[in-house]
Amino acid sequence: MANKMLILFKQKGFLGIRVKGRVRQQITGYLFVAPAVLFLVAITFYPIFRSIQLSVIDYSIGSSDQPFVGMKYYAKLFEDEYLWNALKHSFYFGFTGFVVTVLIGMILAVLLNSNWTTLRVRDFMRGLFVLPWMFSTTVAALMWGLILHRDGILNSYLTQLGLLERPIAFTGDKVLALPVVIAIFVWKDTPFAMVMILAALKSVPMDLYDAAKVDGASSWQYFRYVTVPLMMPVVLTVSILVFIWGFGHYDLVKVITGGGPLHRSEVVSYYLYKVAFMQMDFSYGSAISILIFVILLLFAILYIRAYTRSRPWQ
Amino acid sequence: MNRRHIIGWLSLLIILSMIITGCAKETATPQPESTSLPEATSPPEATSPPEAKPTTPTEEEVVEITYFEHFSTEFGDEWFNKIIANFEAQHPNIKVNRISKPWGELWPSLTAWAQSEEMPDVFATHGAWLAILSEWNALYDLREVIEENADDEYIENTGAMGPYYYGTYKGEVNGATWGYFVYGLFYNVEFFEENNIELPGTWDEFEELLRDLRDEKDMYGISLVWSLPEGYSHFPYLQWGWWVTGAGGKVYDENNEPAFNTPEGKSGLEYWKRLYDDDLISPNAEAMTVQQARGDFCSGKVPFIIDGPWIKGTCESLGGEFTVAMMPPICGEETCGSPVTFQYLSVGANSEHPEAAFEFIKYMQSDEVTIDWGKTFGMSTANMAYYELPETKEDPVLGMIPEIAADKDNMMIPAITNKDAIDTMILEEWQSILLEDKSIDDAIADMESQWLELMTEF
Repeated sequence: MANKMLILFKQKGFLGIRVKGRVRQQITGYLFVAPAVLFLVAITFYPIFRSIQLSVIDYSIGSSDQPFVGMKYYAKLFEDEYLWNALKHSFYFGFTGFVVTVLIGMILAVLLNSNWTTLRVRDFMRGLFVLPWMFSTTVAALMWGLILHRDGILNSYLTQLGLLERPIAFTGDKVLALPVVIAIFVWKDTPFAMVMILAALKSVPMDLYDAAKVDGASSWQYFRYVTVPLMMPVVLTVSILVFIWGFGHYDLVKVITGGGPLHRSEVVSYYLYKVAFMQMDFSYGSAISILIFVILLLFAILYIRAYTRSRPWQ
Repeated sequence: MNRRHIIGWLSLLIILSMIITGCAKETATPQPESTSLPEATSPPEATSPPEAKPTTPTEEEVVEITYFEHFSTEFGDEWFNKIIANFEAQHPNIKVNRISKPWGELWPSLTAWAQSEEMPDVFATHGAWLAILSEWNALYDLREVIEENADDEYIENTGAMGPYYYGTYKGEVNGATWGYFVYGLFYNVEFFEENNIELPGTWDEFEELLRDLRDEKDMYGISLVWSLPEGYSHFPYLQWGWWVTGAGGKVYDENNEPAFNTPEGKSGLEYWKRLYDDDLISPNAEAMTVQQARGDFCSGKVPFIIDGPWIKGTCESLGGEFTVAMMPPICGEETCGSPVTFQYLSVGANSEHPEAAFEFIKYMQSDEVTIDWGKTFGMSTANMAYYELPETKEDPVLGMIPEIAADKDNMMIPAITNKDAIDTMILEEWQSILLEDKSIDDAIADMESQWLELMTEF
């Protein structure tokens, strides 16, 4: 059908206008990607534009009075101590999450790539390490919530071993609540880092290893001057992705701690949910969402620049 | 076009959007006209309404109404299909289309429909939702249809539990009572009989009993839910508010504004803090979930729980091997009031057939349906007829409800806009007291100011 339309277009043109060959080919391509682009526009750009609109008016469901208020809610961002508290936690979550995730992922990838045991054992271990990635975040949160409960197996083992006098409320402790959530995030996302870095390791050409061996390089020197530079693009990609996931994380906080106790585990995405859907302040919530969007956009730009600089040969 | 140009165009687009789209105004939403009818808040002694006028559609026109509910996702479709079929047989010109979603999707669905002005004709609401939905002009004011359709039999059968017939908000009548939820202390009958322990009648006796259980049996008497996000609906009204009511105080006044900055309010916080500090309740209440607290009770680990009548069914489903009963109302120094709330059936503001919708509501509130509902699922209803049945009177949980319902000192869980945010704030302040980040006096003062701020912000 598309071919028939194309032939007709070539012969008759469109409204008497005949288009040259190269442009006709491009139009065909555009037509094929148009549905996907329209879908992306609908689910990505429209919500962004709608959020911007909501953030500059006083919006209330069912009210006809929704005046333009300009930067009122953006000014409120700077006065909201709970928002800055949540932002601080989000940066901490993102940064700690990506450092630990990438570090552990790298260690596991190197372990799985080296010949310290048989291939069958390494394949089995790779399957085992990937398991946490298969859980949905909510299931993981519920499971860990039971493990970390005062009557859960963790407290049970620790008290039986004599390491604890009485059980600890891991998710209710104002110091431990956020680190516990981050630890569950790391547990869940390390397999992703491991798989990506392992793929990068396996793509390092063996010729380089042979050349380094001929030149008398030690294993550490090979790793430091050959493997790491070639892995850097993937490590950077994984780092920025994990940071973004950690920064914008919502599910674990919602299910496990509810942002508590005392806002100690409250992250910016959960705070946004509270403002928009508990306080029903959609305008201020939209302003917060735009702030999150700008922060993540900046990090995405940083990533693109870092990625380009890490590949000087391209 | 290089990357810099793309970012530049995108930034310009965003700025232009802020300027242009911010000037766009929403189209006006037509406001429903209010009629000058008396407030429908008094019990049966009120004057009889005028004779009912025929308002249902004629036989020639069949109207369709939508009924949105969540219970069938838990109890199954069979009962609902049966009652709808019976209703349609009695009203051949009204067809009911049922929409079913789980409880967790009820509020998000209602919010989305309110925004798009496509509310169902009939749906379940709770006290706090009445306030919010009313502010959003999403509810139909039932005064007119009640005046035209209500008769003595209807008044006698509905809303005789406590002081409310209908949910009202700012003078509008926007919810007809259907379910009646009484919260109380439920206990393990066999535990108390085997240990020959007398049930407490006051909060002081309750505290004393908890101490005795710790000292003599090395066990905790109760598990309380003070964690986020679940505990926000428990502490303000089912624990602190309940104690304050017993002491003769209030958590909120008739304008839904805070009324707890009083000696009673402070003493209430001191009471629950004492239970926590003296290790009389299950440890780590600030991390306890509802599921875990119910598990503690239903497994026999603790002999008490503060919950609603559904705890009996919950324990049965969890394999509990003891009889669950509801204690007589526990008393403070002044009153023995309990926390109560209604579930309502409301009509959407945009309903094209409000009379037909109200016919369905009347049917749902009838003896026929409420007795069947109660007998089939053990749920507590707002219709007194159910509690007159011999088997209901003998039920260790449901048999207590008429006595509790008759108490005029009961604390109705409030219909406040922003209730979830206010309750969460109260729990957060409570946690700051527990974890000794704040004194009780400072926390009460902060609660009061934040409550007013959250109400104003809505």
